[in-house]
Amino acid sequence: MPTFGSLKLCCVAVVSLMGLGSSAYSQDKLLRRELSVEWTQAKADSAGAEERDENLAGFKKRYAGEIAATRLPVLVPNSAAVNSELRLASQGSNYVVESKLEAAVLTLFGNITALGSSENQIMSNAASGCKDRFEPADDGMDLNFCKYNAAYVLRLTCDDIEDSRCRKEDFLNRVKQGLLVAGGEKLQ
Amino acid sequence: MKSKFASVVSFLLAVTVSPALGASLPPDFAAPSGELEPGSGSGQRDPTVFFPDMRFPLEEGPAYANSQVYRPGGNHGGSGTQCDKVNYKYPWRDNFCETRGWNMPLCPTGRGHQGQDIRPASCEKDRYWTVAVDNGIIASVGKYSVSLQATDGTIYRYLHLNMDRLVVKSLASVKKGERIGLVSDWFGKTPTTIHLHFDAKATFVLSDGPFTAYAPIYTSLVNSYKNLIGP
Repeated sequence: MPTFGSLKLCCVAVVSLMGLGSSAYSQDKLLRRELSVEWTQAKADSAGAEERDENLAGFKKRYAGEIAATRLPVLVPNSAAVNSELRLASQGSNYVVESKLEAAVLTLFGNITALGSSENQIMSNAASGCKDRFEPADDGMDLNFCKYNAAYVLRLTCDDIEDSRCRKEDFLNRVKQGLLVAGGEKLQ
Repeated sequence: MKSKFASVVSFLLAVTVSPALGASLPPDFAAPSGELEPGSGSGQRDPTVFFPDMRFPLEEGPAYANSQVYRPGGNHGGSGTQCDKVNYKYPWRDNFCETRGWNMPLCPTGRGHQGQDIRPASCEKDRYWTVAVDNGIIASVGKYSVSLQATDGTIYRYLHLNMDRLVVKSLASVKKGERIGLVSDWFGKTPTTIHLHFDAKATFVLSDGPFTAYAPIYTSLVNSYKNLIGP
């Protein structure tokens, strides 16, 4: 997790770079760009995934079109950690997998569109990004992480906020450890 | 001729009655970003509009972005109730970094509120519609939250809706401006004040990989409200 100091440094650097001390901020410098996915490692990790989870083949067959159109590795929860039907929707540069659990909903977001500045070399000198970061919220907890240079969020919402799955990190951590590569545009 | 006259009258009535069409927005309707309710924490003064194309999350105005905790009706709001007139007046107040326990790396103290609270036009629950702020997918429907993943990957979150009256389902595609649900006070076992908590989680490019966090949303709300209400 980036420290506050490093993030602050990053923000200060970007703010200074963009002249944000004044009100003359130029929005067009805040560019969105697609991250460059590390497909080689994703491909290696996808090998044998179907042997590790007997439900994966059915999922891949059901969503073959959506998976093939997704421009990042489609990670999905392992049924050992999430024993529930998985549903997928893809928008190309991002996707979502939803799983309805007992008294909770688990959602996995994947995304390769990121915000930066056109001069993001300054940013690259600042904070560290690719670390697991748990983020509690009013009705659940998020686990933000990155893999293959893509961004992912595991979001768990619980019917009862005192549900230990939403209060402690163990459950989301276990789900993350068991994630499988179901495919992606460059893995067909 | 008669029908033409009726049309003109209808138009004039619509302009007069609809706040979205009829209200002129005062130039100082919103306090600057990072200027929180006094005593409620340290704000993020960065004026960056992170989501310039975002639509305002309520179908129509007026609406009042301000604190639910440090205003009448809130735990630190002094006397009065949530329906106090002062809560339904401009200027707006940023409360993205309002004092809370949440870990918020983009707030000056490292902690904050995650999003912005918005009161609808009046102190009535289940009357005012929230709408999709962008094209995307309804990604998650929780106990009292709805998440929308926009086509650009941003994850927008709507809290405290009346979940019995949602008009969307999980994994459904939505278009910008399409209705989602009604602003209410749902908050698990006990109700909260009548408001929408709205936040946005975005991915940023950092030195050693992507970093995903709640982004300051106040400036984008100001921008989208101007677009909704007009100058």
